Amino acid sequence: MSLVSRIKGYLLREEVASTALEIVGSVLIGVLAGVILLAATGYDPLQGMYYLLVAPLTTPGGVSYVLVKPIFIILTGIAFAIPALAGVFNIGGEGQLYAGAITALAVGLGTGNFVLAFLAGVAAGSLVGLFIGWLKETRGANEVVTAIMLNLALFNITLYLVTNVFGSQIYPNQSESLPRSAMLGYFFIGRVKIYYSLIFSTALAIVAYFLVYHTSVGYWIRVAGASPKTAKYAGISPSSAAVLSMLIGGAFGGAAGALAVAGYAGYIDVTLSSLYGLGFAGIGVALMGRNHPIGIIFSSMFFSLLIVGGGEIERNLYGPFGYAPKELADAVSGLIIVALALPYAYRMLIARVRQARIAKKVGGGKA
Amino acid sequence: MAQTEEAPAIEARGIVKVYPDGVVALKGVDLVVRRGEIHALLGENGAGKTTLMRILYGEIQPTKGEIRVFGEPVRFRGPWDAMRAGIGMVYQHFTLVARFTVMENLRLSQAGAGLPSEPHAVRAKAEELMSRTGLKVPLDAVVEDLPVGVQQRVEILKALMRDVKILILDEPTSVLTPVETRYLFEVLKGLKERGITIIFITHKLREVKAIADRVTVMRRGRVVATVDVASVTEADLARMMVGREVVLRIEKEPAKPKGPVLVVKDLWVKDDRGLDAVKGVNLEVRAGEIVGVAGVQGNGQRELAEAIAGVRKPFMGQVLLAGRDVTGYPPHRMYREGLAYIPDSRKVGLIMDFNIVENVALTNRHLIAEKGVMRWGKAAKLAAEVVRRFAVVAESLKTPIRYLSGGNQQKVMVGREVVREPKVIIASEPTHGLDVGATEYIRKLLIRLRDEGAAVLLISTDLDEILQLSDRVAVIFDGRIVSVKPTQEYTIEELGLLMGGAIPESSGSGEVVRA
Repeated sequence: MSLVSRIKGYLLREEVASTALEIVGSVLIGVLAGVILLAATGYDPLQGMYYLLVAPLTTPGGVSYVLVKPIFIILTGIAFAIPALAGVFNIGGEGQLYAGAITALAVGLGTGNFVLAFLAGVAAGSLVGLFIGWLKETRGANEVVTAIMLNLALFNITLYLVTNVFGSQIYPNQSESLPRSAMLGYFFIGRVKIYYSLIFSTALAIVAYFLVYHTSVGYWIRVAGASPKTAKYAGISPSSAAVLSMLIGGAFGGAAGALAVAGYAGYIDVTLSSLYGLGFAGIGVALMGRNHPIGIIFSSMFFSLLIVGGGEIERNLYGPFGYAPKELADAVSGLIIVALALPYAYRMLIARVRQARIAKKVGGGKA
Repeated sequence: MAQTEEAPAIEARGIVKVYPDGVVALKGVDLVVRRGEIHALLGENGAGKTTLMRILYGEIQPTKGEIRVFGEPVRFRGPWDAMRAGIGMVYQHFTLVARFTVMENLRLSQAGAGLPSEPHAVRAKAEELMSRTGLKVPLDAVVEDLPVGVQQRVEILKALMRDVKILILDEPTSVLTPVETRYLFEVLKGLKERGITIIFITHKLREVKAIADRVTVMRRGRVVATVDVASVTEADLARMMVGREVVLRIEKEPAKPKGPVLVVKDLWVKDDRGLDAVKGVNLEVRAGEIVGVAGVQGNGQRELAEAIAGVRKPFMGQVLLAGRDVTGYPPHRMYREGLAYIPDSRKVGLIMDFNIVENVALTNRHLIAEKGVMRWGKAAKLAAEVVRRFAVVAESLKTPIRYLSGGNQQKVMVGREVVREPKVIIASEPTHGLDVGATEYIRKLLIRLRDEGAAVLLISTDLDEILQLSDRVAVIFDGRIVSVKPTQEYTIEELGLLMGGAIPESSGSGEVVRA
């Protein structure tokens, strides 16, 4: 069977086709809502949509810029997606990212070696994930609560370390910079600048896909997430699978942080502005990508386009009250993201509620 | 209004129901239920009985058609409208608060209906109803402590408290012992004498003959006929229900058992709440025989099966598989050692969102995973074999299992266990919720597996199934095996009494009982 016909067969499968239809439909609805919002506030909606969706792709600089954010949010997206498949809500991608970033910075400064810095960041992130998973399964602590608290704690620990331990001697607003040997560089295609870390994180997404869909561990995670009772029947411990998924998810969160430092900026600024929010963005990206690692690659690119396009709106879209405010640009791209993420988020929520209800009815331990 | 005095209790005309997913459940159904009769609604699973009842109870709306209750056209927006019109429903799964007392449940229900819910008013009304109908219920007992049969009486009482004129019961006997069933029938006849119209959903022919005045037989979303019960035989009804002659008896050779393959010694198991559910069970299943475990639901059957399969850890006792002590082995190891376990619910055994291949992989991971990598090619081959050997009807191997019919789902669940040629098969309710055709198929399969030398432990609450298939029958009551002997040595009456706990253990449980 030729590759083409296999791909064709895959695309014609019902669930693939219906997912594609849902995504296309969601984008159209989101765009339509954005158009209405722009028109209602007195801006030219077609021009607005041009700036949002097309303008960033018309210049090499714009394309380069669009290709930066996906480096990180592909990975934080997977940090959310893998635990989600096991039925765990990992809102701690943000904290795992900080842990990965600061650890990679410390090890990179100490050793001057990228590989060591990266691996240390991954290890730090996975430890944070493991801790949340372990608390949930052995102590019954709700993962959302512990993750939110840890996010805050790790933000401040990182902030402290950046300002007090690794602070730059030269620039007061940032940490010391990593040496070139501890960093991944970039290359050009034409005039488009591409970071090697983007290739790397895309490759990691493919690894994640293989892990989830082609290994025993991935199968355990998916079975445990789909039905804890079935998992027990098949000899898979749902709680081990949950902890394992948090360990793996945390590793991806840590990898995002490590690449944010050692694969892109080379330092951390004292407000953590280069990191802040990347973990949370991962949740939206994962939902848009239907928790599928390959889907997340595309949703990350699209998400990044919307962010950059939002900037274009602010700079270029002129209306009755002058240039469009940032809030309007955010609202328009936000509408599209919500439209894309909502159907899947809704289904996930329903599944969770149903599972909790079944678990209660059975009267067994926590599901 | 004058002619409504003569109008039937329920008159439904041309009811069509198309579900949002496009399934046509009812294709133009007419149903006339006369006042004060017991009207049975008979049909296989998927015939549309439950859909029709849910429409009559206002739970779902018909796509087309009209309904009259006592001559008045009605359009229910929800069960509350149906209740107001005097219709009550007793579900298969009760809608009681388990931790509440009977009184508290009754008061809750009364308050929900906008009726007086003060303790003295409710108690007075309940006691008056109980004395008039013979429906005895301990008002101050906590519901979860009551046997299932009594809980069902609470449900009926709850409906009567709301002054229903029409009472719908959805497969009410499926959870009852023969003794409890007889009691229920007495109660229903009493209610009928007091002018209450009863609709009785069932798929058991014997019950139709035992209690109903008239019966409406449904098949595939249509009404086959409505007839007087007195004018037909069970065989007539069976023919109408399935549209062909049913093999009510399954032919089988006498068993030629060999040595014991599965031996359970003094097994004690706790349930999810931490209470003893299995209390010192001894059991032996030999190669080439089917041992049936008969009993009313909830007497430790599930915990027994799970403990043997390793899903649940016993806290005392031993499980021997082909002479080896395998107590406490995790399930996947048991499956590798030659045990197959068909759980009592497809929701446990299958993952609805997974496709056939992924579901077949579930208990066959030792045949599929290599060094931590899932060899999906191997899994697909195994799945293809299951589909071919057991004639599973599915669009493709990649079809999510939820799109298969119940019978085909069951074939996948059973087939994937059988395909690895296990030495021991534990089959829990293997035909639960299947139509006659699929039931017959699964039963014949179990007999064939027995003839090929497998040891089969059949756990079922369906007495017909136990009697048809088993070479020996073990009766379980309250976590203990109260009797084991060859099937033909039991009488129906004796089995019923044993299942109801009315006869003390006829054989000591301290030793391994052998037929």
